[in-house]
Amino acid sequence: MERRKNDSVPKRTILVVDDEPGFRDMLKWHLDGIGGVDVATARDGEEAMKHAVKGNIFLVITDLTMPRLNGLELLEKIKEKNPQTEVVILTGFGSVETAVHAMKKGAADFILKPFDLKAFTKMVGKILGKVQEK
Amino acid sequence: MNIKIKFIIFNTALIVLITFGLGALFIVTVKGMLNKEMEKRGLDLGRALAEKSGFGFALRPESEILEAIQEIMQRDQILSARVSDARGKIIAHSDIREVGKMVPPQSASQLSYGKNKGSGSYIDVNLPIEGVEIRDDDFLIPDDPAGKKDQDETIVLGNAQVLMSLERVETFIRSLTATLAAIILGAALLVMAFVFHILKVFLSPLQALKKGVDMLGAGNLDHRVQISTKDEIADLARSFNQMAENLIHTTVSKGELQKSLDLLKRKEQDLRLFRGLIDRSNDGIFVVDPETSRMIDVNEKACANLGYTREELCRMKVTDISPNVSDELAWKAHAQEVKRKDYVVLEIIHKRKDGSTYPVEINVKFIRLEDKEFFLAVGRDLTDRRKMQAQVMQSEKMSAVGQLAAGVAHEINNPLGVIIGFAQGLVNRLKPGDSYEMPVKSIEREALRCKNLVQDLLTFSRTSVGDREPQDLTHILESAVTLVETRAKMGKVTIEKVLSKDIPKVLCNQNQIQQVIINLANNAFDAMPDGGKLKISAHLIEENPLSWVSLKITDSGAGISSEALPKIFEPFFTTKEVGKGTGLGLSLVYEIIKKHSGTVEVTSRPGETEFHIKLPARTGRELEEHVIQVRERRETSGWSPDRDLTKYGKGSLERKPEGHKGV
Repeated sequence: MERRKNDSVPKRTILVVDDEPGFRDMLKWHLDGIGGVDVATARDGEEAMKHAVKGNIFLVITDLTMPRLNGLELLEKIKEKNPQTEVVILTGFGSVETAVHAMKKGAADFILKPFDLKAFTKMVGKILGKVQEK
Repeated sequence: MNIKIKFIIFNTALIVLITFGLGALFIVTVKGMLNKEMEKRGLDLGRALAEKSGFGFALRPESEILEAIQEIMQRDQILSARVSDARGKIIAHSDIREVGKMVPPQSASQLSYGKNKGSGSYIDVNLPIEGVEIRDDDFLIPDDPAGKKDQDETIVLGNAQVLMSLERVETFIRSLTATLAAIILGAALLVMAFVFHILKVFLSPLQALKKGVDMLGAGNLDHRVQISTKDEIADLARSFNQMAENLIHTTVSKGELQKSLDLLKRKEQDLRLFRGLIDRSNDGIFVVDPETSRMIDVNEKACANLGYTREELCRMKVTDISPNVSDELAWKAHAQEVKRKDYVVLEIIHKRKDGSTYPVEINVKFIRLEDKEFFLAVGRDLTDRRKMQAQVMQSEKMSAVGQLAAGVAHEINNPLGVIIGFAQGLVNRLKPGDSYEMPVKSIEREALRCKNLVQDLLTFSRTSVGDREPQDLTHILESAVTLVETRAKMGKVTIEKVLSKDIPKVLCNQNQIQQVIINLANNAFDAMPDGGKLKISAHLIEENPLSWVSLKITDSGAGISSEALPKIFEPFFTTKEVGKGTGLGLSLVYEIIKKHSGTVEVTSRPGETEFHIKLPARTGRELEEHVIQVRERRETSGWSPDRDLTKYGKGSLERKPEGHKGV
């Protein structure tokens, strides 16, 4: 309630899910830089689900291989819970097929590891623009 | 008709003719003699009758005439006797019934032969009865006018006739003839039998000889004539046998000659065939003298392998072509070992005529044949096998590297991602003139290099993955060239494209082939640090029964050293300075082309290095079938992990116009 008072538009939340703390932090650092969004992080799928049930998450960026509930399972659960939530898969070069598989299950896009800032920015901007259109 | 029958007929006929002639002559003579005798008798009797009748006429005692007739009639062989007067009137006859009949009067003696139906042949002796006219005699014959004129002359008073039967003569002649004929026929038969026997005695050896000649003529040289007589024919037979004996040793029949010739021809054909087969053997074959190491004979393959002609090789020694046994001493030791072990298999080096060498597996067998000693060596060129072994090794190495790379790369991805992410973020936030600009940018650059290495490793580990489509190679080449043009310009490299227009489509993964061209082009740029020329050419080549799309990428760089050349496709092999190359670019090329059922070869000399790639060209039909197959597969399975990245990229583009393209 207090938040609403402070901000006319409630901040949307991007959830970054990766078991690698360095990668998690790096992504959060970039997303924070974009501004206008909250960035939450989770170390695995289960933790991510705890965030997801709170709602207000419009984008989940998740790694594929994680302990306890991997990226694909997380994707399925989130899409089950809230089909509106966009999911972007983080994948290493060479396992793109899995990412493609994920896209067939409803993922919006995939980001190749290790990292490419340009591609990443473009992807986030695209999804943000889409969400704002709605 | 054989000679025997001819001879018999001829002889018999001759004898019969002669004897018949002689017999006939004899019979005629006898008959004539007998007839003469009869005539004489007839004449005697006739004269006697005429004389007595003459008295009778003179004295008219008819009884005298009758008496005379009766006397005559008592003689043998008399048929009849008669006396007629000058007018022809029979005045006395042995047959009283004839008296008084008239017969033609005759004045001269007459002897004739006649024949009656009843009494057979006869002699008719007709004599005039003569008398002397006595002028004063009253009882002259008044009716005779001639008597009046010629008064003192002999006058014919009448005729006396005697008929003498020739029956007995004829009977005698007949029986004589019969006897003679019988004798002649008997003689003829005897002669025939005799001749037959004689001929048999004479001809049977001749026939045996004739049979012998026939047999000889028919080619039966073993036949011998057996003759037991001791005459010239036996001599002849002996000579004949001797001749046959000699013929066996000196002569063969045409048939046998032909048979021998055919046999010879077949043997020669077999030999030629055998030689031809040996020459076409896949291995070189050497027949070597163990003593001197001289090559007695070699097959065509041996000549082809070594680059010598057979004549040249047959003048050479093993020590001339094999550096392993280069002198006599080494050969002696080698020969002893082969003899002791019977056969030896070893890998050695052979030296060609041009001085180049190649590895050979030699299988030497010690052979003793017809009191001579040989080494039979079969030499197999190991060049291809070595190449194959190298390829297999390469391939195994590749797959090991691929697995390793895949494992490691994923682990590196995360820390690398963090470094790149922060570095790029920092670079973006740098203000102009920031003292951290150089270090931060260095971090970013080096991190990106690591990223490229990881990507290469992963590309490498997944070259087998990817769908193939019928692709226009020219198009792929053009787009690849576009990607490298910037670098070419920067490096002062001119790119020349020679693309033939008849290139058919190639079944390939566009991204991978593009990657191949980019890798090769980058490799070429690295080889030409001071600029140069890069030539890219594509042609269709026919190597029966296959056709290939040939792709050549040639640079004018320094070339690859002969030490480095065999290793350039090995993963992590690089001649570039540390930090410049990953050592994966060319091995990636190799892997991709291999997965496309193609070949890649490299030739290099200073100033020109050429990578020659051959990809199997597909017929339109083959491509069509492939497309249909792929379509069917897609329809049956929704998703396959083997799918090509580009395809999905496109798929995501369709869904989302700005979809991420992946690699």
